Amino acid sequence: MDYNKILEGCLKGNLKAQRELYDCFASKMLGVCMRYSANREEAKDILHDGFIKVFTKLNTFSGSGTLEAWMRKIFVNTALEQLRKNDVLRDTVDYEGITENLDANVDIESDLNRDELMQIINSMPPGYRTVFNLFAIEGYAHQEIATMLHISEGTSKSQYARAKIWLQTKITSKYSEP
Amino acid sequence: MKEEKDKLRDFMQGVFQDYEVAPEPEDWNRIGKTLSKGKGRRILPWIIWASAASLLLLFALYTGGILNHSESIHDLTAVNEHKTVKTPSSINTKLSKKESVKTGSDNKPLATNQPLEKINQSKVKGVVVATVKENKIVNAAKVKSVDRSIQVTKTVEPKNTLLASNQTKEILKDVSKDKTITVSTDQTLLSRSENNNLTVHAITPRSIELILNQRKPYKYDFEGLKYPFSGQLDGNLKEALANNTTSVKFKGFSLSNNSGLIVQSSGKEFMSYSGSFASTLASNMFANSVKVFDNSLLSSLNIGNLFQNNSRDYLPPVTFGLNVNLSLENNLSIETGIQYTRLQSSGSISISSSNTIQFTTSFGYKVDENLYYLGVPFIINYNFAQKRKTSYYISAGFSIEKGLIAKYKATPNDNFPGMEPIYSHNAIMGLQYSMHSGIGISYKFIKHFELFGQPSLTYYFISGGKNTTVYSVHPLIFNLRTGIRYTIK
Repeated sequence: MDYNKILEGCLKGNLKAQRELYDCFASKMLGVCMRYSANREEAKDILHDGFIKVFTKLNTFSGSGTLEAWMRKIFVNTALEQLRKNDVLRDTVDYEGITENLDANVDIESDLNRDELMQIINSMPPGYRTVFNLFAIEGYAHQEIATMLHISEGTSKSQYARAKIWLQTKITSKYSEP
Repeated sequence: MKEEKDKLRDFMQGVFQDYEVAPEPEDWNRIGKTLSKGKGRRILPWIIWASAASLLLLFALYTGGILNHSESIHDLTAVNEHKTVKTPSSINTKLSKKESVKTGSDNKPLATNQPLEKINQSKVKGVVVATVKENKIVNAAKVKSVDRSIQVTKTVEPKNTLLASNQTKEILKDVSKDKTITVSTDQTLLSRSENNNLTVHAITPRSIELILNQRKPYKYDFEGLKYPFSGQLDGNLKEALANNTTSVKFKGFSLSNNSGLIVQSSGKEFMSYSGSFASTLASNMFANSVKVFDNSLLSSLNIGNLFQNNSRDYLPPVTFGLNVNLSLENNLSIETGIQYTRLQSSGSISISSSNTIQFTTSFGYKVDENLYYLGVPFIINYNFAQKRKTSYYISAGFSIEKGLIAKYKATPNDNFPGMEPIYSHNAIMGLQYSMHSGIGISYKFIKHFELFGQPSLTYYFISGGKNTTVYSVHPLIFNLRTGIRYTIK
């Protein structure tokens, strides 16, 4: 798809072009939003705020990377802002130094499908979920996550470890279900 | 352990790489609504500020706060103001207490029984009409605007009758030799005789001595330029002068400093001078190269007023604008700003002086007129095509303009020594409203800034001003709108 024309229209504030851009990326971005949210309503709020940011800051897109990557970054940041705003990251600060005892082996060979995994992630406490998303799916390092969430690197690691335990527990319980 | 972590990341990234969740229609509706609101919030203050600035500008222009030029024609004042009359001592010493001198446009007595020397000191302005009686000025009146071309309506009293009725002078019977009667002013001199008094009517460019001698030959001495009058030497001088059929081709005259007519006369004959005398005199003056143009006479002319009803050639109006353009949805945009318009036309006028001295002086001038307007446009554009930095659009809108100034340059057709172009200016009254529609092209030369050119068909409404312009003659006209546009996305 030729995004240049769409981008040009968006830069002019053309609503039709904005709709086209939305149609191109809304599903993917809502997927991102869903991973950081406990439910769809929260995700929709992030989707809304994220697209408003995209349209208002489109002129800062340099074109050096892909548009999707640039947008994904905006949506992740928007999600984090939302979490901070709702004070849901408060419980991410007290777990530094206990990482070693929290290592867990996640059975990644399980036959859980994507939706089931998504359900488990959504059910995580916000702190676990956020760090898990950033580390395991977005690929950020713990140091970067620490900076993004204004926490220590150790806290990020412990949150991730706990998230894994949570994940393992949920997977195990899924398999143990009759 | 580390391997497990990496495996988990790879697994999760693989699982969620293309993870998508279909949004609901209401999701876009909510976003679209927010975007529209945001645009509304952006537009509103912009419109308010732009409107306020425009109104302020128009108010300032309308009340004349920025440029205020008097449109009224100045009263035609004396040709040479505040010039000391240089009167030959011969006259001064001969003035008697019976002198009666009048000055001022209303011919009120300036002084009674006043020595001419005193008149000199009073810095008499304007043209002086003087009556000489036995070597003495008995009546002098200041006259406004003998010189002032078409505007010469406030003329000398008794003006035409002065010469047309062949005023007379009876030369003293006992004069058997040359006798000098000298009358001099710093301005045009018109003198007349009453009963037995000498009548002289003429305009002189500078101090001139006219010697009338009963003995042959009569001579006019113009500052050393001896001009022998070749008319009939005997008999009635009036007839001699009147019968002189020298054609009058006098095209320029001047009332400069120290102008005056010195008349020396002697003889016993009953003489009268007709209008042809003045014509002859002027003609002779001209022929003798006494051609001094005093541009101060003409420079104060209101060329604009003289030019108003003359035919002329118009150049198409050109409008240059510094505009702000706000993009809306669907390739529409609204635009306002400030625009500067220059109207050019050229034609000719003839400035003539007539009727007070029985001959006409006409000067042909080529006139260049430039009218300047400052205004505010309100425009809506539709961008129908775009290629890289070039946009094509159609446009419609209206403008309110205030004329700043009308400037005139009148270049003389003749080339008399000292003759120079005349410059004048008028104010342009009233506001000019217009509607315009056109097709334009714009080129973005740097971010947000575009150069635009837009041929437009414009209809100009009748304004309250009295200037004849291309707007009033051709209300519907093609013009070129051009300028620089700042675009807000």
